[in-house]
Amino acid sequence: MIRVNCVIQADSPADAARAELERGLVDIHRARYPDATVEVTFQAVAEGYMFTEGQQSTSSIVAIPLGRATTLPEREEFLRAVCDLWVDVTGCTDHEVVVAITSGAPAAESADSDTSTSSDTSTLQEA
Amino acid sequence: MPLYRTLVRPGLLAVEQRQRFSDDVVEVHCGVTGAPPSFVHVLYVDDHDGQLDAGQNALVFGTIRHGRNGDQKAEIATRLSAALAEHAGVDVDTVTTVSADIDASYTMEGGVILPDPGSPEEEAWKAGTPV
Repeated sequence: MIRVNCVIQADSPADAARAELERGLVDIHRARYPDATVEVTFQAVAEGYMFTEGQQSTSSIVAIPLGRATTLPEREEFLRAVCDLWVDVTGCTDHEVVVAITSGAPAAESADSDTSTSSDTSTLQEA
Repeated sequence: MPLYRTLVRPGLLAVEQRQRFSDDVVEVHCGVTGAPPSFVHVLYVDDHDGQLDAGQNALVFGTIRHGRNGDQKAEIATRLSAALAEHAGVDVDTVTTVSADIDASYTMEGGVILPDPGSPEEEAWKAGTPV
């Protein structure tokens, strides 16, 4: 089970488009990982509770515990798909969406794989 | 990124104080690390679930890119704890600031994979970052 956690601003375009964003996130996962089961949760943040660059935030943070090894090109393609979904559905800019893969073992070494350490950003999942 | 998740005792900070502390986070994080301010997020959560320890007023948990050194992290923690305590009017010992590193290549913001701190890619990234 992949539990995607989306921090969004209350009464924002993202808040109004939860169903479409959820469908898009599930589709993105299914297209790449057909065996994955995806659950999407939204945490709507009230005005005055999130700031970006010291200003009331308009950003969304999408934390995805993918739970599998990925190469850098795979991650980039996956993250871009989610970023593009947000931009297309909500009309935000790509500076208003942060997408993070919050768990995943290092990819096996190969000619085209990234061998960086795993990303355990469970704190983002709790955000 | 960074994201500073700030868990506070309910009622500890009014919106004006949250605003001021958010400014502090930008000033401290960017001053210490050189990161672009437009990427600094601060999220506040009122501790209705009793996650804070007894006597603890706030826990600031920064999720930051891997690559900052211990001195940088210590300076950030010390200054942010002091700033929040001052805004809230509480003893600094009741405020805790910690951080966790993440691998930058697992995060996309601004439509690009974040670069590692200090890397040649970061310089190009900063040059293209809105400030």
